[in-house]
Amino acid sequence: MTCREAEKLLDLFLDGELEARPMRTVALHVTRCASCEALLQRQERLQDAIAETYAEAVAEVDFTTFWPGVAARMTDRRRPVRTWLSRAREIGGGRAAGLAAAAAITVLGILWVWRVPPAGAPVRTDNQVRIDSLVSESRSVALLSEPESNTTVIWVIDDGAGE
Amino acid sequence: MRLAAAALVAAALLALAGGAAAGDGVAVTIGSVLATDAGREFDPRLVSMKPQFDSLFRYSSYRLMKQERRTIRWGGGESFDIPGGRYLVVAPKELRDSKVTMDVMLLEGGRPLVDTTVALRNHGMLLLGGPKQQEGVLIIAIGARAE
Repeated sequence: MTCREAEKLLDLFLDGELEARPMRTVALHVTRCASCEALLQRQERLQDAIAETYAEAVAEVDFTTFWPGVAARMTDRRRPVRTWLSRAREIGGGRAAGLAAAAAITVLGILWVWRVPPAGAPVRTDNQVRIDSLVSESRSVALLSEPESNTTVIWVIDDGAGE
Repeated sequence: MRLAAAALVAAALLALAGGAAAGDGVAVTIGSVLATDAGREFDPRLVSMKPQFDSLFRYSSYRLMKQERRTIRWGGGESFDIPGGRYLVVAPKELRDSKVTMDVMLLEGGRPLVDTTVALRNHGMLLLGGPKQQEGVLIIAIGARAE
């Protein structure tokens, strides 16, 4: 990849919008080309400055009247629900609607309990990894494994010989 | 009968909501840890990894230098800045059998220190270590979470 090709892709690279292969190619080029790396760092600083300015502008927005406005709208929205329930009761469906709501809440409750482990319960981690391929330009590579949680470490032994 | 139907509808809605999130991408967390023999500091932010660190390594001090979390779409790729002028490129490919398959490449000085394809258990973590950093070594924790 030439510098001109890399420069065209730097914006997309920063935004993470490149496909995997060009992403790797650009990253590889940037780590060995001082001018492109400097250009990338300038763009990163510019992006950070824009993000900071944006955050400052958002911080200055006055939200003090926001919640009272939402609360007022919520009050307005409650009325149709009451009307719907009253109408259901009128036509004899009140009991059924209540039972259906209770059933839905019960199901949601069961699923919630099932999904969330109780507080304080030991969470057993399993970090099992399958390594399909591994290539390295460092002097040697070791694979270590911790049996309790199956945590794998790819350890590169590097003396900077390639620099 | 109506009761059962309502329960089924509630369960179906919940399942649909869960299914919609599954295709969004994978949340990748990259933590760069400096491990040294200088001092006896253990960064409290790393407490969940302490058993693994104690079992795998013999350093006396661990400090989280940088942590970054991004959601990467399937088939896409993201580059993470790693201390020491390194880059880590992560490109998730698919979620199969509760495992996230992804390409991981650690680049330093124009050469790939590691270029690997791994299938990591969903919500699991892979460690990549060894590059020299200051007076110690760098350990990079790569976590993947696809909901």
